Amino acid sequence: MDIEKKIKELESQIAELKESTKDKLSIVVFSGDLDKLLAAMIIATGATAYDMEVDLFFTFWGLSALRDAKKKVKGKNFISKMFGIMLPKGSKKVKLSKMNMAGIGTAMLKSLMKKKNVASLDEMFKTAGELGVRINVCEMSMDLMGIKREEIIDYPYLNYVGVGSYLSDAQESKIQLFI
Amino acid sequence: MTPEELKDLQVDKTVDARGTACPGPLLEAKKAMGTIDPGQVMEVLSSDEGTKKDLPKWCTKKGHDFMGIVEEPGYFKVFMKKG
Amino acid sequence: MENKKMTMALFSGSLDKLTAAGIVLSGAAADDMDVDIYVLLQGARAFKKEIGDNPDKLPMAENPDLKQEFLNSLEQLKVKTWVEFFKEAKELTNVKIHICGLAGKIWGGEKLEDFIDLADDIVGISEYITSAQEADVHLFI
Repeated sequence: MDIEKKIKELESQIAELKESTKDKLSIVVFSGDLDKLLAAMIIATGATAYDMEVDLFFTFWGLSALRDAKKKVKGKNFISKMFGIMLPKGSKKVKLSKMNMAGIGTAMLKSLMKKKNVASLDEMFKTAGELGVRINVCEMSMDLMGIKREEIIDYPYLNYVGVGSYLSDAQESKIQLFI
Repeated sequence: MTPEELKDLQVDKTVDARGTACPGPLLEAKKAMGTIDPGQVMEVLSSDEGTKKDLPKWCTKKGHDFMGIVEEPGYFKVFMKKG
Repeated sequence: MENKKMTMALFSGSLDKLTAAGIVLSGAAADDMDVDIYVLLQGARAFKKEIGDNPDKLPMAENPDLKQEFLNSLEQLKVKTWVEFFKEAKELTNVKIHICGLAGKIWGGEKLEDFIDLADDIVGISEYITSAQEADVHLFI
């Protein structure tokens, strides 16, 4: 029996195992609701405290949170314009999923958060950037919602990807969530 | 390979996935890959930006050789060699 | 190398989430993953033969007032319907679709014939738990 060969084989197997499930969290952020976005960002930033790598995949309605209210875009087609007007523009504008009550619920939650020193969604994005949380943006959803790259927030770890990238990241993750 | 070298490359298969959004190009690539032999070269035409990240990753995972991307007006070509 | 495994609990029966699930499923198909889909409560309604991908009969999970714009945009981008996504994925990789028996009954579906052709069998919930434990990727949609 060739022991050296055997050891090499085992070493490569161990390396493969390490690679296959890193301490990594991947979250599909599908929702554009304030409460769900907050939950996603709290889990994401919390996971970095456990030295986990975090990959967020923003898709469908979640993209609203990534729109920068200060950035303006021209040259959109009709459908894009409709979506652009009707979807919330940025993390300060997204609303609660239930009990929004014409904005009263959202305002109450925001004032409670302030009182209890819970960071706003805006602040959480800033923190997440400092902690190295990666934000991956689903390019297809951007086309679907008529959102352009020029109106996306400035964020240090931002990538534009497709579903294939999501799945390979998800396979390497210990925890996968769809929010 | 440089874009110039890729442009002159003889491809064995061309997949036109322009006009389809994600996951269209990825699925078209997968289907077409099944029809060529190892060592043969395929180009995938796409206008979906996410594909630029997806296809190279997919090639690496599936053991194919990602050769590079060439920009064309309004779309791009992704070159890969079957592993 | 063995194929990676994905378990998807499809709880939602909404147009937008089913479309997202279809796209994730296509990604899994491109990667030759083995997929087990467990169709739970609201999902079982969408799998009924008389519902399927008829957009008029499917609700939206979010932004119901934007449903028409959403549909227009899907059409413009030539995005497949959720049933087409599921069907294509089944052709490309090993996808098994299990309907939760209880959920089926709630929507008046007792037999496999009550559901669209994509459904493979009707199961109890314990199979889902086992499948989730073994999965490399586990999603609850």
